[in-house]
Amino acid sequence: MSAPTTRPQWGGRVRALSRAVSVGLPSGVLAGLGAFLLSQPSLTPVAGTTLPLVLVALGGGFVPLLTDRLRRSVAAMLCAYATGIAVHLGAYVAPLWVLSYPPSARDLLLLRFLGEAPTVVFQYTLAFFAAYLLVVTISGYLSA
Amino acid sequence: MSSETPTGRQLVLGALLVALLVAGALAAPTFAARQTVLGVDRVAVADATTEVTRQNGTAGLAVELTVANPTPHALTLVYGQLVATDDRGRLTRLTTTPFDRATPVPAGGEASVETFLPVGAGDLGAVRAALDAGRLTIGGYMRATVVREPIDVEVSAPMERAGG
Repeated sequence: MSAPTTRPQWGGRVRALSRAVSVGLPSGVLAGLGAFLLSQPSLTPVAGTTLPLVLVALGGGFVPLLTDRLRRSVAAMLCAYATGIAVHLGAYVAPLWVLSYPPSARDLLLLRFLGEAPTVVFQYTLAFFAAYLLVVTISGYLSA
Repeated sequence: MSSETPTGRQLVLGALLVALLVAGALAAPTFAARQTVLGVDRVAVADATTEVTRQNGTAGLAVELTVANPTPHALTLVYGQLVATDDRGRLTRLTTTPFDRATPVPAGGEASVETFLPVGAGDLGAVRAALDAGRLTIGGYMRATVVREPIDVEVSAPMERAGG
């Protein structure tokens, strides 16, 4: 991988990455907000886990609808999945900085929150991939 | 894949935007409510007054507590677990004191609740003396809810007499 010969390839990779991010980021934010709502069942305006799971599923389901090839949709899906988890974790630990805890308390609570937050990742993953694979399967069947 | 026409793609983008707005509209109050639950120690009694009265044939303290809520989400006060003390100890039994109605305290606002602490006949004199000397404190906690999450608001309020 010496620099001169790979330069054109890098341009292609940057394009591919920006394409994946432009689809993956909004879908991932949607799925991540759904995951955050899923983790706060007693604080959401609407009771129940259905609506958060639908939001997570939409985050996965929109990805193949916004990309034109399977390869690109997989790249965007991976970006969306990671973005969703990042958004969820960010929203979960953000009060530690918003509420200006003393640093020692913040360190303790940060560990606790980072232990609690992943409990919804299993449900998040199921809903996200179920919707993604459903849309890929149906659109693949219809386009064949 | 299934949105190869420009209008189809626009429809999908529009639907994604709507879904994002719905998710944001749900997540923003949830985020605020979580700050209220985690920052419940900032919710405090801002003003407290009491007087010795008789209610349904029982002597006791009619207490009015004004609760200030500086957090970004409203909470609802449901009932109190309150006790009156002076510098020597408890003057009333720790009782569950329901409020007349569940009282919402808006975000960044205040609301008052009124409640009644029955005082045993033997303690009435001590209660009056403590109140007159400014040594009476109402302590305990108030049970509140944020959306559907129960929280406890701590109460430790030195008392002034109602009307002076």
